[in-house]
Amino acid sequence: MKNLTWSVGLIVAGLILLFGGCNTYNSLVNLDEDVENEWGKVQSAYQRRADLIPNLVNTVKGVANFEQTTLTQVVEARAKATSTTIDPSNITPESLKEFQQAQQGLSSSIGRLLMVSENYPELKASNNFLELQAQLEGTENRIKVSRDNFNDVVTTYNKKVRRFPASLFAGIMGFSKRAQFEAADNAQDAPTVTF
Amino acid sequence: MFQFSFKRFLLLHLFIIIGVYYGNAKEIPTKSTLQVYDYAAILKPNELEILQKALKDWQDSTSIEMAVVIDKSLEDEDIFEYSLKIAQSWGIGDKSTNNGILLYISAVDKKIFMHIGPGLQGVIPDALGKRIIENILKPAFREQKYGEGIASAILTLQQLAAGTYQGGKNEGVDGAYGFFFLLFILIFVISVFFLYRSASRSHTYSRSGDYHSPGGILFFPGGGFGSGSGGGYDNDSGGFDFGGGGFDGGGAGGDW
Repeated sequence: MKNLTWSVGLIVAGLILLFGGCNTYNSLVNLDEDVENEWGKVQSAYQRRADLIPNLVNTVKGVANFEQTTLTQVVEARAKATSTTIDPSNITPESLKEFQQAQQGLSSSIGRLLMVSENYPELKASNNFLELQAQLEGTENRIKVSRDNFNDVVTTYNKKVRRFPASLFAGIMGFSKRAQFEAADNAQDAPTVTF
Repeated sequence: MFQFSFKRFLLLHLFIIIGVYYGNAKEIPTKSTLQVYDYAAILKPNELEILQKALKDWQDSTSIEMAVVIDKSLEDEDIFEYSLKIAQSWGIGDKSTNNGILLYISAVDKKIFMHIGPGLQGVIPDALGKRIIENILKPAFREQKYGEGIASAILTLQQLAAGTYQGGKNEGVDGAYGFFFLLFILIFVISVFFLYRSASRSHTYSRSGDYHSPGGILFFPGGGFGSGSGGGYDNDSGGFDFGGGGFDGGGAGGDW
């Protein structure tokens, strides 16, 4: 009889561990998927911006004697930004920083181009240019939102990974803390202009 | 000892002050069963009714949900972020199609921002949103024709979005997962019980194909246990409620 009680106790303990483990595993998988999903959105927001650049460059090119250096800078920054990619399943703080810097480079070169364009009345009157500007603004907003969302899901994920009792399972199951965007980066707000 | 507790006392006050300071951030207005909110009282009563009815009809026939919020002042909040917070927390638009629109207007600041849900950005891209603000809203607002401006903006939006969405709700069943999970546990417990009763020899509960950790913990294939809650559906008997749609920051803004 004593044996029976012991066995039942063991089974119950086993079940608790089992369901605890399963729940932890599944919620970690869900959160992990969320993180990758949000990263996808971040990337597509940046991609959207990169896709607008050729159009922007072409519009500006059409204007008589537009400053060439500003244009080439944008094109170069775009090339750099699109070539810096990250494997979504392995986002390290270093690679994220590199990605961020490349995109920031593009942000400030676009900001500069928009500033310079203020000097060309022909551009300011062009509908095409105004609408491109609207699209760029919307895209910058999307980038901001997607980055915030990404940081939010990573925070949720990191909390789960590091908190007891999930932290017990997380280590064994190969879930570790993930990197986030650094908050204070508003390069697009204040581009430095040197002529 | 006194000093120590005094320090703590000061610290507590500091926290309270910080708390109050942050608590002062402008709050999101509470949603009701309306789609038009005029906190600045710049619409005439009949205009408010007309707009309200137009939006309700639009929602009924196409499932597209649009809200208009006319605020007194932004109180130093950023218009984009503040209006996005409203759009997100109210959940304007259908949950699955994200076809919501929020037109946010701040009367004192003379600022406009229009958020377009991702499900409508195909037909109302940012550039067209901007055009609506520049060509319709701004000129009307400058002449203080607020109701007329908003009405003709809605009309343009309706034309742009014509044919994209149909009315009628499609609601998913989220509760089913929970039920099957409980059923699964029940069967599992019963089978363990019977196995225990019938078999005197020791046994493992392994099944081929399932993932095993060295510790003997069994994982269930497939997932979804304990995932998101239901919520966000309308009860047709009562008033109107937004469908839980999301926003990605797309849209346009401007000052008049």
